[in-house]
Amino acid sequence: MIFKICFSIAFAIFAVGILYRVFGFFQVAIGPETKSFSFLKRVTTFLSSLLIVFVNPVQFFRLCKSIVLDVVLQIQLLRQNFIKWCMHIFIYCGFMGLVLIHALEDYISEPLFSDYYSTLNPFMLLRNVLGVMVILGLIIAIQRRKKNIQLRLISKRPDYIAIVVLAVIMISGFLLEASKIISTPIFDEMVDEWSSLDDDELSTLKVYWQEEYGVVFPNQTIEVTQAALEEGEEINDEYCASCHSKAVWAFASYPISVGMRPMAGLFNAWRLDIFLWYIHFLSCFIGLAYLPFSKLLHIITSPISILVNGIAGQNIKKPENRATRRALDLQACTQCGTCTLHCSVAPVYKMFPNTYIFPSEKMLGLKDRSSGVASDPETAQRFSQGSFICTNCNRCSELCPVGINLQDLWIESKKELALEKMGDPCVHLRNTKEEKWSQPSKEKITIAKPKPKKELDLWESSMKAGSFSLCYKCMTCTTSCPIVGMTENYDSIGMAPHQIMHSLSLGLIDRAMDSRMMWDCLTCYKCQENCPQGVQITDIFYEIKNMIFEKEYNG
Amino acid sequence: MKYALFSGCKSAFYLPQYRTSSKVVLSSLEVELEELEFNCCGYPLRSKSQDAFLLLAAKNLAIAENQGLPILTLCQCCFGSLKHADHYLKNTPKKREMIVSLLKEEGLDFKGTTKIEHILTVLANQVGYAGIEKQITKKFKGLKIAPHYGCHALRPSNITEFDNPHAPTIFEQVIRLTGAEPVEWSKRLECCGNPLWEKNDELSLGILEQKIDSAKEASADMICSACNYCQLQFDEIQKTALKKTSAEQFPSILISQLLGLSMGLSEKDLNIEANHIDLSGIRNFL
Repeated sequence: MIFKICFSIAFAIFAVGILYRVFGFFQVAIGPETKSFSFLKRVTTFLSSLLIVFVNPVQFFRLCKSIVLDVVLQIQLLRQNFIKWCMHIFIYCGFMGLVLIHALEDYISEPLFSDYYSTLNPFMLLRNVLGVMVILGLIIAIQRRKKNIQLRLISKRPDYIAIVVLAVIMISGFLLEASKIISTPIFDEMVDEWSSLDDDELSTLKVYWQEEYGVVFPNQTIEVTQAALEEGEEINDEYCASCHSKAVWAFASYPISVGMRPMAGLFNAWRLDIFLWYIHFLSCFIGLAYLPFSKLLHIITSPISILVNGIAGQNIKKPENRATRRALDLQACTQCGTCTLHCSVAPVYKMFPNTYIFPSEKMLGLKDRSSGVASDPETAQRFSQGSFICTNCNRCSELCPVGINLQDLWIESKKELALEKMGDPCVHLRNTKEEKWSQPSKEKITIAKPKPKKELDLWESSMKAGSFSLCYKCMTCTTSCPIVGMTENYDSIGMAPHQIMHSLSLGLIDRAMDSRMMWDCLTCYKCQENCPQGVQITDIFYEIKNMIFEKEYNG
Repeated sequence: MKYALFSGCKSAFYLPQYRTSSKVVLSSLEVELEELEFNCCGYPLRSKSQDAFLLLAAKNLAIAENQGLPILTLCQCCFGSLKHADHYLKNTPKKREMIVSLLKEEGLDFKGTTKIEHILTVLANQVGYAGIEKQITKKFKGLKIAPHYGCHALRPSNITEFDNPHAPTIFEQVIRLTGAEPVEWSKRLECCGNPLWEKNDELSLGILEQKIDSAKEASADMICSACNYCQLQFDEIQKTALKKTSAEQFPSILISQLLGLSMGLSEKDLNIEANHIDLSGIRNFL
């Protein structure tokens, strides 16, 4: 009864969760152009394209190929990392096998195999093999996340919760089987239900089951004699053997049961098996109910994402479908960290400790943003900064084991950020400078501060910047500057290069820092190449930009 | 001759034809290439943090050093960036110490032995003009090309050591081998405008238009570039942002594609179709 109620509740939560997610696939909009697509339009576009996949032989072939190679065999993962592939295959095959032959035995194993009994080989042995596979997979998963510094950085509670849920299900399963092996009450129940033995026969059966099946009969004197064993075996063959293989075939649970023997009296009296049974099925149900809201959702979403990628690659034509794919991709991420481990700009984390530099973290950030959770301004700012360090090299999309088009997500999320005035920090800095210069300052200019601020002192901090003192204002830099050449209104760039050099000589670094010229500089190095005095103008500009950036964002 | 190919972030997604065409051309010229897992060259981060730029660039140099291979870059910004970081680290012991300690955490080291070359310097100095000429099978007739030098390879010349910064010839000499005629144009050594793209689009496009006008004035048929960013600016950005009719669009070809065509390689191998502005007119000159 409790079992049924718990299952119904868990399944209801699971079903509602899945519906909510599926609804989200057609509702969540990432990218400025996607906002105008209606839910219905996205559903119908998706369905019509799905139909084409089944009608078009080329696409159908790609679908089949992708199911075998990418979804089942995980070729992409195998190419990248054998250990990770083993982890995936162990957990995936082990767990799926257990779900099919064990959890759904009433619906699959029993109708399929007329002689199915959970305690009979090959099913009992297979269950142990599959369970051990999952546990091995989980051990690799934990090891990976602990050992790799970058993976440790990005591993969070949801990653560990998923591992813990699976581990509890598996371990409680093995303990349950072990506690049943030693259980006297279960032995008694079975004898009552399936046989009509007199006391003598029962005692010989007990001898046989103690010796051959590992049942423990505490406080009972079981005399083991050859004759009793032989007689017990006969009774066993008659009543038990058709449903019970020897317990030792449960090669993982049996050793555990041996370990339990010294405490068997207590365990049997407390009915440890019933307690463990509750833990086992409750943990399964918790896993089921939690699935749509956890990273375990990828069991459902990742295969879809892999297939979409297998059929269409990175080129989906219809914008409605592109929007739907983005929403699906966000949920398909398993947080495996492949993208982060190979990210072309990830090493920068050592300079800017902002985890949003890592693609897998940006996925989480984007998930939060798209679900409408309002993030605090600081987090939003960090997300923007991390996003604009990305160079769109596409390596993450090429390597993603579940075929997520991360590149497309980054392009669209950057467009969105730019619209929200959280675009590239350099653009933001330039635009604020522009505002300053378009309104002439009425403040008095302080000339040549006696003690310039230490952190802004170019003389101190830089190898080459000291060269600006060699400037004799010949204006070669300014006349060779293509930006000055394009400019009609000099106020719009603040100061020309030679004026910036001049203001540095006067110690007016603040004036130089406020000049929009800094951010409109092409870094073409013409000024520096042409300077007769060897002033390293462009490099000085770079340094001043670094100072501004440091002051505004890290200061 | 064996090099570690440094194709640069932009050529992976936005400009795959540069990488594929360079690979076939260089292999025909018996330049062996190995692909290592490099990271960003650091150039996009220079405005934000010099340390981040140095770390990224140095890590690439260390990865190549580990394999004992010189680097061949396709992109001139990558080239300049790696050259600059190499120079800076060698002349700034304190920074070098800091960067090396960070690299050590990843089991890498920077000894400064990695040679950095650009595809043009390899063609001119390693393969040699005579070596290229041997492979030329079809010469262009009457094709006028405006070679775009690219700032970050050319300047600052004391660091990049690419060619004479005021009167370079390396690009023209390679073009001449194909039978095409390099034109003298006033904006030959100027910037393409890409560094300001998505930062100040108006200025960026203004500079691009000046370049195109100058090439047209010199009666060139197309621009030729040897840099990821420059080619993106001349091709994709010109097409999508300048809003010109297709007749007004001015094509740009990559050096690897130009050379490949005259070496008799197929348009498919050179991925000519991937260019945004139609290049099929070039067939008339072969």
